[in-house]
Amino acid sequence: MRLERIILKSFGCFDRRDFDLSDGVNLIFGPNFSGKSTLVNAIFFTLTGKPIIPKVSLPAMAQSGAPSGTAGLIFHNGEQSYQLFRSTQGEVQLRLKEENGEKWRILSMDKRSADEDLRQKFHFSYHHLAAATFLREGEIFEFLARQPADRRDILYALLGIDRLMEVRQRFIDGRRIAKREERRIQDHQRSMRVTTVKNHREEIERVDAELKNLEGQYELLSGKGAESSDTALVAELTQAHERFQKEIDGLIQERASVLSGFTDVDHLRASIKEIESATASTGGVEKQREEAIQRIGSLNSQIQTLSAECETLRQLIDNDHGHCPTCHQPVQQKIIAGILEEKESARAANQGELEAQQKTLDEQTANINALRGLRQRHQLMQSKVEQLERIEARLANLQREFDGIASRLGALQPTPPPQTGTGVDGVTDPAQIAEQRRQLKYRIDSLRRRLVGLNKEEAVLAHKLQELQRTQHQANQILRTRLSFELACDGVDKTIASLQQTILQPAEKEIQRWLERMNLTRFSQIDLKSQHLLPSLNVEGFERNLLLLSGSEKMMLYLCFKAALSEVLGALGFFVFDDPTLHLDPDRRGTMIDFIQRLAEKHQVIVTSNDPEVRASLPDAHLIETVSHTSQM
Amino acid sequence: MPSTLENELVEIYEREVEKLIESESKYQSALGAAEVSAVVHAFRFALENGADKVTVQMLYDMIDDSSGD
Repeated sequence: MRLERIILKSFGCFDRRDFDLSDGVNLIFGPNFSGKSTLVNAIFFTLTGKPIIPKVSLPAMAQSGAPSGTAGLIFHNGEQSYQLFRSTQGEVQLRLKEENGEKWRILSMDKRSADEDLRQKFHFSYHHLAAATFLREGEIFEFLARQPADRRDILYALLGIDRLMEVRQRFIDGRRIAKREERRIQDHQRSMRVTTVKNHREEIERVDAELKNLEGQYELLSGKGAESSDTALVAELTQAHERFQKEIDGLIQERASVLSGFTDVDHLRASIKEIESATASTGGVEKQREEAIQRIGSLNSQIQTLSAECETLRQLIDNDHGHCPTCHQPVQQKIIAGILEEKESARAANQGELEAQQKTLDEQTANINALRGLRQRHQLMQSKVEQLERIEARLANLQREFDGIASRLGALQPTPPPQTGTGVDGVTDPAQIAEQRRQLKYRIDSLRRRLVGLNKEEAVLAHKLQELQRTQHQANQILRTRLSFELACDGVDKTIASLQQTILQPAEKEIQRWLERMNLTRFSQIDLKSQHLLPSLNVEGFERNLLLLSGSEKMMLYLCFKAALSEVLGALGFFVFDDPTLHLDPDRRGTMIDFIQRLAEKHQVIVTSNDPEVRASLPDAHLIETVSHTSQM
Repeated sequence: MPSTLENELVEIYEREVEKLIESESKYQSALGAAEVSAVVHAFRFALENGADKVTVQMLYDMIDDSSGD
């Protein structure tokens, strides 16, 4: 990259001015207040969009009284020519000269795209220019006074490590998150392990072993019991015999209670038959009673009618007028008296029959009540018969079994008890063996139930175990993830170190080379890494801080550092040094001039000075003279 | 960052990570080629797309997929 022209409009102390630049050394020469540093600032501002002196605002760079100032550059990169303009209001324009060489084509017009174009096409950045290409007034002292962290930031920005630091921070965040997740999973695992510790595997094995042992004992006991089977059978039959006897006694008592006055069930049945025959003979009693009731009703009605007629006839007889009061016919007393006599006779006959019927009805009602009592008794006796039949049947069954047991007992009793049969713990008594077997059976059943329960719980545990295994997989996975993030972080650290080594080691050698060229050979070793870019020196076998060197040595070393850094970062092709010979004695000034000329062998170098000796020492330099603006006024 | 520089960076990074996994016992015992591959992929992804795009889940899934269990 080669700078061809500086174009200023209302920038700094310049109204409108262009400055042509050439290859090799360009000396901007002029007295104080003539705008030498303004030109340096203009180049820096045009390329970076920032003032070369930090904390100076952009509007402050415009010419006094002007609303805005503009700085521009025409520069070449390879075969291409570019124009770059920036205003102090932030406007920017990058142009490319057309191939016909007459017109400029705008490449970008906004700050973001222009800066991106500059970075892409020319591979420079603010830090690159500030640290390796430009030297501004007082810079060395600011650099030396910087905190190590600041220098580290500059170094990281120069080497592109700042992006790596972002990546590293992200990896650290990832590791922290993974660690948190790891702890969460571990807690979960611990809670599951507590459950798993309570698993029933051992308990199942223990119960299973005990069960097998008991089953073995039971089988053994059964085998031994078989040897004394008769004795055991006698014991069992005796128990059954007693149980049946009790049951039979109970049933007999129940039967006696049911019979209650009857000698037996046959007696009861005979009584039932008597009742049945008695009730059968009284089959028409109810019908007769109904007829008697109807007849009584009819007789009552007839008697009432006859009584009324008799009363009427008596009134006719007793009437003095001799005429019927209704039809007014003459009444014949004798005939009426004959009718009255007939009526009264009929009424008396009916009354007699009524009384007879009434008596019959009373008898029939008593018979019916007795019949109902008989029927109820018949039902009761019938149910008793059924109850007795059941009891008898049960008794017969029990009796059969009882008799069977008794007969078996009778058959077994004479058999002597076996001498070989012994129970657990040497028990020989069959009853005791049977008791032991019963107890063993109880324990076996109990253990089997326990085993079923344990197996169920074990199935639940198996499910939990699967969950545990899944969690274990997650734990392994998150552990590997966390370790991977740690590895990623360490990898970034190592990469940063490697990058520093890769870039700074050649820079150290380059500085060494420059120092040798300039006969500054007492600096035997340069270290740029340990103090983050601040050259650490080994002077005649001793570590020396750059701060302790003389002013001229500081400046020489600092410029060598810039040249070396520029070389290893990718030289842009130009350097801009603002008054590098300031405060140097003639010898050192000569060395500096020599350094500039050597640098100009490969690069374009723009230096400012107000020293006539410098001007005289650079006779071949392209001279740009500036005049004091105070003298102009 | 130019892609060539990114590639160089990734190459350096991969070398350094491989060296680490060979030299550090804590990595050697737990991590393998799958993790190195995942870590390098995450690094490249961060350079190309921004560090904030890298997530724990991404690395977790890459390791899980690589391990095949």
